[in-house]
Amino acid sequence: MARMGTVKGLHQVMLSDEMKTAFPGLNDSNTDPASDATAAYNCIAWAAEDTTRWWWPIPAPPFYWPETAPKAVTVPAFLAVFADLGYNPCDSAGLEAGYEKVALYVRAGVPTHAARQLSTGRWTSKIGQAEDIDHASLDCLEGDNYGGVFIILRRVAVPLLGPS
Amino acid sequence: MPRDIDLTEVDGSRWSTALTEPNSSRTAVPGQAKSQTSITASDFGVTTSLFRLMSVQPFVPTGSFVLPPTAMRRAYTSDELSRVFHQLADKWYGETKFTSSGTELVLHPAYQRIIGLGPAVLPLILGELQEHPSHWFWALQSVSGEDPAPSGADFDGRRQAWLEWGRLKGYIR
Repeated sequence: MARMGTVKGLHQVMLSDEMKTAFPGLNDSNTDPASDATAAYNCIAWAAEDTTRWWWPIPAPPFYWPETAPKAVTVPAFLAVFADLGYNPCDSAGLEAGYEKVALYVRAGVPTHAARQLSTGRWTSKIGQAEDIDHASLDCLEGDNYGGVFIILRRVAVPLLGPS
Repeated sequence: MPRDIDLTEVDGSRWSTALTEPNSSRTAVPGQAKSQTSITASDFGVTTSLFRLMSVQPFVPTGSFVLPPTAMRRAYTSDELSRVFHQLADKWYGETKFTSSGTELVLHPAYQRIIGLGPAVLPLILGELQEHPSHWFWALQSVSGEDPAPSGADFDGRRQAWLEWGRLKGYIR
């Protein structure tokens, strides 16, 4: 099997058939691959804007998990992580001026995935060890793999600093 | 002509299970059992048996311990071992590449079987880490009993530390 994520890297401009099969809600019109595949970070890290570590609450290295959050694969543990990053629950997945949003997906009560909203209102997700994608809506990724969206979180956006 | 190897021939699961069985005195990690008592299998969304596998750190031998009988591990030629490893690695990657769960990555049956192949597989794992960077750190720790990565190292730092370790040990160039 050809592996993605080789050292040399291969930037994919089209969504792979394999990903479309795994996530039937994704298609070429609602999703854009946005990076090379990499195992360096996962969706939780990507939602937290960290591209150097794989965030997962296993009570031992080599995975990373913030010290302040419980090391258990539970919704409260994941909410604690995002609370530390300033996120609180909210009602709407819509774009709100002045806020950044994250969505947490859960399957059978177990957290599986997180997506982060872009300033355009679209969402960005890191798909396992595969690539980052930009997707039009949250339901694109709902299904057997990630389950469904459990909660939307938001925090006050940090204003971008312009040239002084 | 190379023959395909039936993955069921790879008798690694018992080996790895023996190494990671939390009730085994060989794998007792001081302080670990006590710290786990408030967490249950349901916290991780896995079965009790899988939880037992994940409730200890990667196997690190401390003090004296008894290796399982070599009969538990099938002897392979280097070509066979390479074929078995790459079949298992392909299966593992193909079936986990869309998951974000570290738990699912390291508890996948193919990954556990790779661990069960024992020290002879270290050069193959390191070669894979060199060519296709992925989450081989847990397996390397489990098989070698070492962790050369500095505490808190990120993915790239951890990878570089393991590759340097492999070069020093003569496993890879």
